[in-house]
Amino acid sequence: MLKLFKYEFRKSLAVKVIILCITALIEFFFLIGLYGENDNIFAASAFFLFLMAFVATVIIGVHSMRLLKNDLNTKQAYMLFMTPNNSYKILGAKVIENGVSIFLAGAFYLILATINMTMIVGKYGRLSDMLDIINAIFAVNSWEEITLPLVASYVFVSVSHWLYIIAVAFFAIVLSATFFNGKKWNSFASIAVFIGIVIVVNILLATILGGASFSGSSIIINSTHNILTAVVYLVLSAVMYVITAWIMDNSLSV
Amino acid sequence: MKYDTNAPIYLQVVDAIKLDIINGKISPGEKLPSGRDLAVLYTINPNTSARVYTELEAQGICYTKRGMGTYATEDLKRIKACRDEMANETLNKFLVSLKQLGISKEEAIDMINQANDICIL
Amino acid sequence: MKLESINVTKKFPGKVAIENISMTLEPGHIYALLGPNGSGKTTWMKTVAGLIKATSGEVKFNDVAVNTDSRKKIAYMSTEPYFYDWMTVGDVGKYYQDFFDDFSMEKYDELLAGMNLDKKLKIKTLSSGMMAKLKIAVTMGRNADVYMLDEPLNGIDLIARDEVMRMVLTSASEDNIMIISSHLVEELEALVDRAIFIQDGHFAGMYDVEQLRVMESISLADKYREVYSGVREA
Repeated sequence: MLKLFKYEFRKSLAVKVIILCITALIEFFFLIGLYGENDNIFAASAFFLFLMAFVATVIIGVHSMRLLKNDLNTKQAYMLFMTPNNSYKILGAKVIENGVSIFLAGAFYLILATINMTMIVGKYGRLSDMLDIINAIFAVNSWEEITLPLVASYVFVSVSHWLYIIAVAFFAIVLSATFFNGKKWNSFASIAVFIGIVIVVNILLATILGGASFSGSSIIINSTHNILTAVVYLVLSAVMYVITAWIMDNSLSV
Repeated sequence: MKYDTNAPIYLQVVDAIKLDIINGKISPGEKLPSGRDLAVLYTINPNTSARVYTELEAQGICYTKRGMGTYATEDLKRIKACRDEMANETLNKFLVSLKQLGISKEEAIDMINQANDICIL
Repeated sequence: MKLESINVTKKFPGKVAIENISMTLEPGHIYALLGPNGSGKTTWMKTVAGLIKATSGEVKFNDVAVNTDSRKKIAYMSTEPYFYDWMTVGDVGKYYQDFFDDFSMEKYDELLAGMNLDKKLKIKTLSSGMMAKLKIAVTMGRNADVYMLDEPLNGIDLIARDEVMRMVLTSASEDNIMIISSHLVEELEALVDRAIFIQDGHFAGMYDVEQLRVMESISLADKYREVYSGVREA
């Protein structure tokens, strides 16, 4: 499966390189703004760096959906399905490669943010002011300190949730290629399935776990809660993966 | 080699090889290509090339040495008899054509005497 | 070693592509798979390769239903191009080497040389003729038990065609099955020894080609005409 992983990585490389280059460019402007004492450039690039963290993970995830769709619906499907690899390996390589990429992206931006923060503190020494701004952005009442572990757990649960969303999307894409192929209502049905599952699971989680669902600004509750929620989403992703791979192995024709 | 695809291909290859043996392109006792090499040489199916050798062997034109391959016969009498057979076949076809054209034997002999020598490269 | 198609049927929305195709194929033969466009030849081949799941019936390879493992011994070459477009000719070889134990890089290099294809060429820049040659080279680079070539002579110039036939003849052996589907029946006349006719998704007969010539004095091409239009040439 390592070999499959190698090719999945290669397929998604171009997009990642572009994201990295854009981030490097913004970081460059950030440094100019910080050390050249240009507040406008500093603020703008800080904002864009923050934005890139989200944009990067979204793009990587969406791109992997597009790659899956291509690998199922075009003749390139033969490349994967003529090899003696079962669907669990084929899909597994995609899921793992995507998961690792997104986690690494999350970690990368977290580290970048930490370095940038350190540079800001080094230059201005006003960390408490900075934290006030961040608190304001997240509308949290500061009953828990913004510490690195908290932020890291936030990144962890965000990424896990996103992976879960991607897993549902993979399921919808495979469903579409397997059962809705050639039918006029194909796109409509697969999108409906995708949205349906996300909503239903969201409701179930809210009911069963009471507040464990992922939503906007009320995420930063505490580290433990974040981690538990993340684990739930990872388990759900695994379940979706198994179901999707089973359908691929038993019913999919390319 | 261009084949008449309405007639058995193996027989056409058999004739081609017999011709080569008769006119010396293949020497008596010379080693013949393996079944697979023959198939590639003549662009024919390997089963067809096997049939070629089976037929040639049945006609005494070649023989197989176990483990070593197939060889053209060294029996010069057999080769001459083969030449005579093929010549007679051609002659008969020629005579049939003549008959169809209404040309008599005497006319034919005149035509042959007057015809230019054929050069085969 | 044997390949059995047992009542294989495949239905797509609004169309029955193949129905109840039953036949047994044996090693040591080169089969022509013949029939007009849309008669089901590709669908059948893809079902054998495991790319398509039959609606009913099954394909058995060595008495076992075709599965992920069978792909180790079965090589399928589709009519359409299918390589990733960021690859080079060399990358394609490496891909096959990565996933197929029976792939020989040396054989691949030889075949590429015979077809005049450079390993550094990018897939994106290949002409359709070069692509057709590459597909064959990489498929024949494998040492499989069953080779299925779907229209291998399409888009290939005359000289390369001879090279393709030579490749097929040197790879064919007592131990493998070659199945070649083609519209160019005349090109296959001397190459194949058995012919399978598919008509409207149904099996329409398997013939020993040389026997047709011996017993009926009919070429494969003329037999094709007879089967598909009911007309016998004078």
